[in-house]
Amino acid sequence: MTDLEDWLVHQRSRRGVGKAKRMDPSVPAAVWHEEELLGGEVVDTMAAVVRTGGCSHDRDHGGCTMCGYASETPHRPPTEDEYLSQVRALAARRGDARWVKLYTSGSMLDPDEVPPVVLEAIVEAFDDVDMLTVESRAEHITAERVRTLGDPGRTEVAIGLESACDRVLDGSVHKGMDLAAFQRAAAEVTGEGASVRTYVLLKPPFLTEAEAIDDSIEAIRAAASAGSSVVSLNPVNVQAFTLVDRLHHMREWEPPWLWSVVEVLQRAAGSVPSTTRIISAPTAGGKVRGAHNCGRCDGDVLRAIEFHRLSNDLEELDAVPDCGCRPMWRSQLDLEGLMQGPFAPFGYRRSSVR
Amino acid sequence: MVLEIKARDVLARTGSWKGASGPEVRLPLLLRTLPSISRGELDEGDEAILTVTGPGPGPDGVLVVRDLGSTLRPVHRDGGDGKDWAHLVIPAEDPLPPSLADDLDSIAPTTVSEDGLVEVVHAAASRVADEPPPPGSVQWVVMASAASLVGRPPRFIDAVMRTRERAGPGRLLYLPGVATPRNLALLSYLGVDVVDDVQCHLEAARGRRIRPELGHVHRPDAGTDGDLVARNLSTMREEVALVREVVEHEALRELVEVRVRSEPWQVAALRSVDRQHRSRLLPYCPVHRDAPLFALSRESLERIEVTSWVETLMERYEPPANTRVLVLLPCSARKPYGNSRTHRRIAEALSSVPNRATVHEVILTSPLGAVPRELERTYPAAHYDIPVSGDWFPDEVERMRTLVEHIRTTGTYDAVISHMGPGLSFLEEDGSVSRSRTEGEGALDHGALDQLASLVSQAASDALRTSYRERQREDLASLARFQFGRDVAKALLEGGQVAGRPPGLRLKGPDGDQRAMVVPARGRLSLTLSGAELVAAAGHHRVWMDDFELRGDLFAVGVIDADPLVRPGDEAVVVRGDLVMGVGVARMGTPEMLAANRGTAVAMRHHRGGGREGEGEREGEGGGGNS
Ligand code: SF4
Repeated sequence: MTDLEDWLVHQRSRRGVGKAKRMDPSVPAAVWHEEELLGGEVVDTMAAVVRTGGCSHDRDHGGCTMCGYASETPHRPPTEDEYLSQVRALAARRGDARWVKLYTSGSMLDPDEVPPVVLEAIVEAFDDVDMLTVESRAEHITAERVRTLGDPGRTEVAIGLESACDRVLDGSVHKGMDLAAFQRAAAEVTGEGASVRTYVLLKPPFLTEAEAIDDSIEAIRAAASAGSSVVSLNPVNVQAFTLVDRLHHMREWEPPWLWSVVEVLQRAAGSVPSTTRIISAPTAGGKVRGAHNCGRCDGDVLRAIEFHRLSNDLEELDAVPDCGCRPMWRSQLDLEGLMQGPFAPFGYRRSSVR
Repeated sequence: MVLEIKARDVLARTGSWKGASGPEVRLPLLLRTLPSISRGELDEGDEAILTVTGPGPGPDGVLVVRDLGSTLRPVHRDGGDGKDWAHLVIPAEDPLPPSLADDLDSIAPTTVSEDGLVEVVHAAASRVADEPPPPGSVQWVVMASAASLVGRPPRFIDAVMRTRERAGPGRLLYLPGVATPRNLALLSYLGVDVVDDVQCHLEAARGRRIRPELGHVHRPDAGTDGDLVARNLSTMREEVALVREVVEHEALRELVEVRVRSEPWQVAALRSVDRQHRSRLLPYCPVHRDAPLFALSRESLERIEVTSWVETLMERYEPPANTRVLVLLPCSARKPYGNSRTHRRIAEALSSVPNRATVHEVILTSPLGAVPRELERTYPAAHYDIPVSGDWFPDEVERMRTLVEHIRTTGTYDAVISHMGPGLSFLEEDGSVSRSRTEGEGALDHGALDQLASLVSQAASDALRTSYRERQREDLASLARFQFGRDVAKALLEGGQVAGRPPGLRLKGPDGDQRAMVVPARGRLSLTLSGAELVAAAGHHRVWMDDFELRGDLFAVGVIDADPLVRPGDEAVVVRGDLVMGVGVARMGTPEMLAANRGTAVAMRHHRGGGREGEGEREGEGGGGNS
């Protein structure tokens, strides 16, 4: 019997972990600057992916179906010195950033992934920022570890909830976590007075576009009621060597429409308290491997989503000009669920000729 | 629950179906998709709705099918479980994309609805074959992922054929999300009973008008096309009506060969059906039809009626004994050939040949390859029509060559004479074949006919004398071999004599009891009871009935077993225990007789003891269509 986990573990053993040999454990995987909304003000933000020993869930259970981080994990964990040289590199590239977001290919609060001394060095290096965000899987989050992050008023812990439906978490995302685990972790964070930033997926594999929209909205509601200050909607994009990649290649799954992103942002906003900000910054937006529309309106819609992210103003989403592909999206919502399997015709949304 | 088949054409069928609840609907059935019952409008003539959510009830007189989606679908807040307003519920299955269908074997490849009426099959999983058959309660089998397999023709065809086989003749097969007016004929040919209008909507949403011809040329024509959904739907309904009509006229294959040309995948799919799935079609393919067979495309060469002709010749054919001169003749448009002007002129020319009964005429043609004269009335030899252009494609020539070779090696010919026109190098380059036509000469030119008569006379004069009666007996034996196989033919002819005037020859036993007669209109033998006894004793064409008194026809519900590969139109000997109870014509093939609960399995011609026996009773009837 092969179940989803066996399949993922098997695939993991085949995918490009070997490639990671060329990765230098003493430099961060990625560093970039972006804009963020902090206390009603748009501020310069540095975001970075720290190179670590990799995600425990990926290592032990084959990882999530849409996550390609494992292929960015080096062949061996960085040594303490290498970690510290990454921290120095990050500090050097901070510039004027008032908000620093540190991701890993897993969990910053997993002591097996990121040694506590390294976390200490990070907290120390950025003790003067207005906000420090670190990412972690729910099971590694404890009140005690949250306390090691310093002043809770300027600490944000980012957690991937992905979906609030345990069947989806298990059978689609393969998150290795249920809603209750997230709720517990969020309570540990808010109990310490720190903020929770929650990631929610849009359209993990095996869901239809319409199911995905409903699922994301449910997840946003659950994230809000667990006290998240920000919920970030991540439309699933195609990352190398993942199950999603394979399904996409086999024409059995496509990334969500940008119209769906807009739909989720609008509909969810009506059902969560205004203390929770809902945003989206679609990775590979407008590309075939990310959330996209027909190709003519993608730029407009992406801009509107970005304006909304930085203004928290729903009017920006209403202002998107209509496009001939909207009826196609509508039809897909109505009909895809009746097809008993992957949506066909594949490439439908980029095939309109109007 | 009632499935009433009105007409069959290989795997396709028309008729009606009525479930435990809800109205009777016609097949093939078009499901109208509505996002919910409260939205959208039905049109005149719509018989069924497919919907996700209620609340119901649906309109009166319309079958309502509810789809619960996948197990990952967020629970719907309205419509409940649909029990109170849907007549059929498609169960929520674990999603399983085709590319993972065999990898993730922890996911069940089939799911049955709570009420046991509907089964969803992940047909892309080859492990479905290891699953137990669907529970007896299942009425509909739904093929999951059908739409995403379209465009991968061999996989698609394989999945559909396997699912059709799993469903068996007693259940309906539904392919979701696939049908268009272009492919409906093909789907129906594969035995799909239920389709939906999903593609009509999707194509309309991208501004496309769908028509049955040429998929790629229909570009949106904004402003002039009005309500595209309505137009696409009306084209779809017309095609459904057309398919019903052609099935009833046994002309579906002709429509299929026209429609597949609209899209490359369909042509590939049809080839895959013809080449890879013959054994699945054969038990459903009638041995005789009254309808003409139009062989107008390359695909016609591969259609089951044609390939089974060739295969039967290769397996069973040997020329009438004592024929010594093989004459190869061109075909004629008019069938049977003997009625054509060409063949009458040839017959006149040959009438002066001494020892004529030793001459064996074989007509070379396409797509059948070769038609021995004694089989010229047998389907489809007397029914096919081809474009006559005078030149052949290599695969047509190859088929002729193979069959001529088979006929020559199984016969005992002293001479082979070709009256064929140019283009058949396998004859032209063979030094043992005499040619009666010179370059540029037509088949009916005087010189050619004289040459034919003189070559044949010369060759035949050396042969042992054979009487016409002897030859008629051998011709009948050849027909019997073609129809029943060599073993049965031997048993049937053993000690038999021929009476009557061709083509209506009769076969009698030594005591003068009639065993069989040739039915000229069908070019096939029909058995009497004593003939049936011989066939049954040889162990073929038997259909076992349950223990009851048989009056009139044998219905499928009364059939308990049958010899393999009794095909519709075949002679069927009805047996109870060891006792032959009667003989008639099979109306269904073996698998359908065994599975179906309704319909005539054997249209009886003679019953043991009861009624008149022998000639006369329903003579020559019951062989043809499915009427
Ligand atoms: S998404 Fe997060 S938890 Fe899942 S495999 Fe990737 S890094 Fe690990």
